[in-house]
Amino acid sequence: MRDEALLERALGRELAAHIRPWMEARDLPAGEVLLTEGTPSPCLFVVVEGELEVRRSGAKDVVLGRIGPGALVGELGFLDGGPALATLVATRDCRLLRIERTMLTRLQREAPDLAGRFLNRLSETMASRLDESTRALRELRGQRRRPPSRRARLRRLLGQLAGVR
Amino acid sequence: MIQGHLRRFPRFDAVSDDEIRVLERAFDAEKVRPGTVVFREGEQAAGRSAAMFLVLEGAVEVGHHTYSRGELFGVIALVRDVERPETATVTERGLIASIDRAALDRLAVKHPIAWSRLQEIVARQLAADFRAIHDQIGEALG
Repeated sequence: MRDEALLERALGRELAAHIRPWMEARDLPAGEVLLTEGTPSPCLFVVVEGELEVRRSGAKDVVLGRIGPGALVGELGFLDGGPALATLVATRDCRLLRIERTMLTRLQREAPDLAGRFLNRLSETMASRLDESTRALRELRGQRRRPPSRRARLRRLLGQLAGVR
Repeated sequence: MIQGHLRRFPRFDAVSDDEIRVLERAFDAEKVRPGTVVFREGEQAAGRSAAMFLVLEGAVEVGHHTYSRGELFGVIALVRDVERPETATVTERGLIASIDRAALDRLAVKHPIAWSRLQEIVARQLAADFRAIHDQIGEALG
């Protein structure tokens, strides 16, 4: 029951009910890594329980924020097979639902209507983060003087892209 | 006008010939000349007429970026009400295809498979745009 409720938060009620059978549950103990920045990650996850820290590597590793139940992660790699944008580490024991990229082909073939709605939902999630980030970046670029908070704002944007609220 | 174009673009590789024909009918196409404005900065792209664009021939400049043959732009408007952040101007004579939300909705009802293929193409383009903005933010951070 709990899985469905959290899936609904991520995907909306109707879609959640239909897509659930196509997803697998996965447990991730605290301290373990879900995604590694720069590594291809062909899996999409919905966080059901627990919390993950979003980290970016650099001269110094930076924590961009945290994500919890209802969060959708890994949608980029799921769609294009490309690398994860950040490292995600469990700060508590987590339970997740996952769907692999290879499932998309099956979904397209066996349930194209569901595939289309699922993809549309992913597009909506990405579009809202993309729109906000594009505007914020333009605003930051438009600033003549660089306030001390600029770097913090940019890091916050990176976090938002990764699903931090 | 659009016939034969889609099949040439790698992003449509996973789409069957039948589905391609359906998509060709769903898009509108327009011949354009240099200077033609496809959309203006600040324009509201909302509701059923909000559209995305595909360069079939020629080139379109949007801000600092030039979109050429086979490239999609303005995709976000198909999924979300947005204000166009920049003006899109044709720089090379050509042919631009477009599809709006109304056409997409009709496709969903009449041709769900072709519709789901197009949804995948849209999602993949947004993923690419997403990575691009991420890289830009990363560069700005240095």
